[in-house]
Amino acid sequence: MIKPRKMTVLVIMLCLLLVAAACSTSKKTGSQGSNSSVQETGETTSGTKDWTKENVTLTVIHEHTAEVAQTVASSRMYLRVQNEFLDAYPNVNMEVTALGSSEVFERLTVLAASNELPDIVYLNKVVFDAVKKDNMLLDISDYVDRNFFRDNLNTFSYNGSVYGIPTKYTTYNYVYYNSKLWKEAGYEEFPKTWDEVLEANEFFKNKGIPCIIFANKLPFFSMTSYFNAIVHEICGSDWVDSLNSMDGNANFTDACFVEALEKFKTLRPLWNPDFISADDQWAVAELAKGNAGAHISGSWVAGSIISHESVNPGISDIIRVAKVPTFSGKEPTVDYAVPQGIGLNAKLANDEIKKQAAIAFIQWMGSDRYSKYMAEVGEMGPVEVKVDQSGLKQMQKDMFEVMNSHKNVPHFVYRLHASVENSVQSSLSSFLSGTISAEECAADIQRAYEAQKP
Amino acid sequence: MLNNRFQPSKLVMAAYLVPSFLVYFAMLIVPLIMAITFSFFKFSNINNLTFVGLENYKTLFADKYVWISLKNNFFLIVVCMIGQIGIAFILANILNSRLIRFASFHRTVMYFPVTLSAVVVGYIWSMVFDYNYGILAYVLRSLGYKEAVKPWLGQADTVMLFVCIPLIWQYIGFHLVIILSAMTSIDKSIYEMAEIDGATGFRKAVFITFPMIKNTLSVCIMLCISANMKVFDHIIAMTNGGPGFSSSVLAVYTYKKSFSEMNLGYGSALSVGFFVVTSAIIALSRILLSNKKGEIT
Repeated sequence: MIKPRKMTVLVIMLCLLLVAAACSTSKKTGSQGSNSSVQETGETTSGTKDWTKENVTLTVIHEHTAEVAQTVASSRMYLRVQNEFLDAYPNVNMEVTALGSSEVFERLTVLAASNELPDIVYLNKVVFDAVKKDNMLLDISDYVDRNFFRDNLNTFSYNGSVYGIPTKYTTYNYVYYNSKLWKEAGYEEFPKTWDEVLEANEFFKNKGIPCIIFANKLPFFSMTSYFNAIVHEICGSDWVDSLNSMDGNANFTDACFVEALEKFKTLRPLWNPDFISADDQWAVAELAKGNAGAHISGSWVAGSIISHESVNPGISDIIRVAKVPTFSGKEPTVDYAVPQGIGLNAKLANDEIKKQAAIAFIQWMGSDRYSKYMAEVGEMGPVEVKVDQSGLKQMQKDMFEVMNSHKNVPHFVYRLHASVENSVQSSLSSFLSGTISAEECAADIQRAYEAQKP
Repeated sequence: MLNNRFQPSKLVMAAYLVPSFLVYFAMLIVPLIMAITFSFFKFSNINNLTFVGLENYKTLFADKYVWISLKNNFFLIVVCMIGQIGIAFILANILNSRLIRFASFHRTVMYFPVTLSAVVVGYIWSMVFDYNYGILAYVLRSLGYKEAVKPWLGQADTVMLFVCIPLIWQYIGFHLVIILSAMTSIDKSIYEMAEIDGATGFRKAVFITFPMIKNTLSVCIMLCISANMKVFDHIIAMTNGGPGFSSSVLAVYTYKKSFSEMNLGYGSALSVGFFVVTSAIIALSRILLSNKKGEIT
C-alpha cells in the first residue's frame, strides 16, 4: 500500500501536470505582415505550384449561421456564393466558425487585439479601424477592380491601398408607407416635405396609431434612418466631406449641425412614445399589421414585409416605398453603408498556396454573383447589376427607383473612427430622449471627434 | 505523535494549496497586473502599443460618462441593498416562523430565479415592461390607468428604477438562503422567552434576529455591493445602457469603450478604476459595519 506521504506527492504532481497542460499553448509562428520572413505553415513556395491541385484549409469567422440564413437574404446568398466556390474548388477546405451577429465582431476585435485573426477576415468598421495601420491585412489592390464596386472599395481602403471588399451594400432612409392609410389621409403619394407629414399626423393621431413608427433600441437607426439625410440637407455634402477629412473647416459644433439637430427633434410628434426602447423588427411587424402609417428604414425591410404575407395577405402590395422627405423641399440623398466586408490576413503572405486560394476566394466573393442573387430577391448588392424587376413587388421596384434616381452618399461620419460614430449614436439617443440640449449633444460629439484628430 | 497523525506538515499543506493558488494567480492576479500595465498604453491591437503614461487616467477623471455610470452603480447598490436584503430579511423571518407550512418548498421557489441566466431575466422583464404589449401596461390599462402607462425603459427619469426591479427579483432568494441559514444558529429558547414576555413577530425580528445575524447581514451587504458594481448582463439585455447613457453602468461603459471602439488602453484604465472604486466601497462598508475592536458586527 502506498504510504500517505508518497500518495500526497503523487496527487500534487498530477495536479501540477493538469494545470500545466491546461495552460500550455501551441507554438505560434508570428508574422508582422507581408515583409515577415517567418513561415506560417509548410514551405513558402516559389509560386510554381498550382494551388488548385493542393489541399488548402482556410479559416473564417462570420455571422451567417444556418438559422439566420433561413430568414435573412444577405446571409443566405453569402453562404450560397461561398458554397459555390467550395464546389468549384474541392481542394479547398473552409473551417467556418459561424456566430451570432452580436458575437462575431466581439470575437474578431479580441482576435485582432492579439493578432490572431483567421485567414479570411470578416470586417466591419471597428475591426478595420483597429487593424488597418498595423499590417495585419493583406494589400489586395492588385487583385480587385475598384470601379467594379458601388463604393469604389473606399470603405476598406487605407492610404491608397485596398484591404477588403464589401459583402453587403445597404441603403437606408427609405419610407415604407401604408398607401391605403395615406390615401384615407388624403395623400396619393407620400409627402415630399416634413411639414406636410406633420400636417398629416393629425389623421393618424385620431386613428390612435403613430404616423411614422420608429425604433431606436439599437441607436444607429436614428442616424441611418433620419439624421444622415438631414445633415446632408442642412449642412451639405461639402461640409460632410470636410468633416471627414478633418481639415478643420467643419466641426460638430457648427451652427448647421446644431440646426440639423433642432430640426430632427421637431419630428418627435410623428413617432410612437416608446421609440427609444422599441425594436426595429417589432416596428416592421407593426407596419405590416397596419398599426402604423409608415416606417423609415433600410433596404432589408422589403424582404421582412414580404415575409409577413402569410399573416397579413396582400400587405406587400399595400406597402409602397418613397424617398425620405426634406425640410426645404429639395431632393434628398440616399445614404449607403458597407456594414461588412472581407479581407485577408497578412500572414497569408508566408504561404503562397494559401494566399492564392484566399485571393481566388475573395475574387469569387467580389464577383457579381452575390449581387445578382440579392437582386433576385429585390435587395442590393455591392456590385451594380441589371435587375430583372418582373418578379418583384411594386414596393421593391419603388425602392430601386428611389435608389437609382437619387445621389447615394455615405454616412456623414464615414471616414471617422468608430468612437465618433458611437458618440453620435449615444448623444443622439440622449438628445431625442430630452436629457441634453442640441448644443450639449454637438459638444459631446465634438469632444469625441477632437480625441481622434491627429 | 498523535498530533503528527492528524496535523499534516506545513510542507504538505502548502503543496495541497499550490494548484488552487496557481489557478487563482493565473485567473485573477495575472489579468489584474496586465490590465494595470495596459492602462498606461494607447492601443487597439497588440502590434501597436503606444505608451501614454497617465493620459488614460486623466481622460477617465474628465469623462462625464464615467461619473454618470458610477452614479448609476451607486443607485443600484442603494436600491438593491434595500430591496434584496430588506425583502430577503422579511421573507426569512416569515419562513422561519412556526406558523408557515411547506417552508422548504417556498424557499426553493424563491431561490429559483437565482438560477436563471441574467440575460434571460433581462429579456423577460423588458417584455413585462413593454409599452405596447407588456403585462404591466395591460394591467394598468385594464384598471383604467391608461395615463400611467409609459415607456419606462425608454425614459431617462424612470429607466434606472425599472432596471432595479428584475435585479431585486432575481437575487432576493440568494440573500434569503444566506439569512435563513444564519437564523438556524439562533437558539429557539430566546424566541420562546421573548414570546412569553409578549414580543410580537416584528419586535422579535428587530430586537433578536437582526442583532444576532449582523455578521451575516454584513456579508450580504458586501456581496450586494460587489454584485451591483459589476452588473452588466441585465443592463445590456434591457436597455443597452440607454436611453443615451441614462442606464449606463461602469461595466457596460468599459465594455463599449474596449470592444465597440477598440480603445483597449482606456478600457483597461476604466477596469482598474472600477476595481479601485469597488474595493474602496467594500472597505468602507467593512469600516462602517465594524465595532470599536475592529470586528465585523
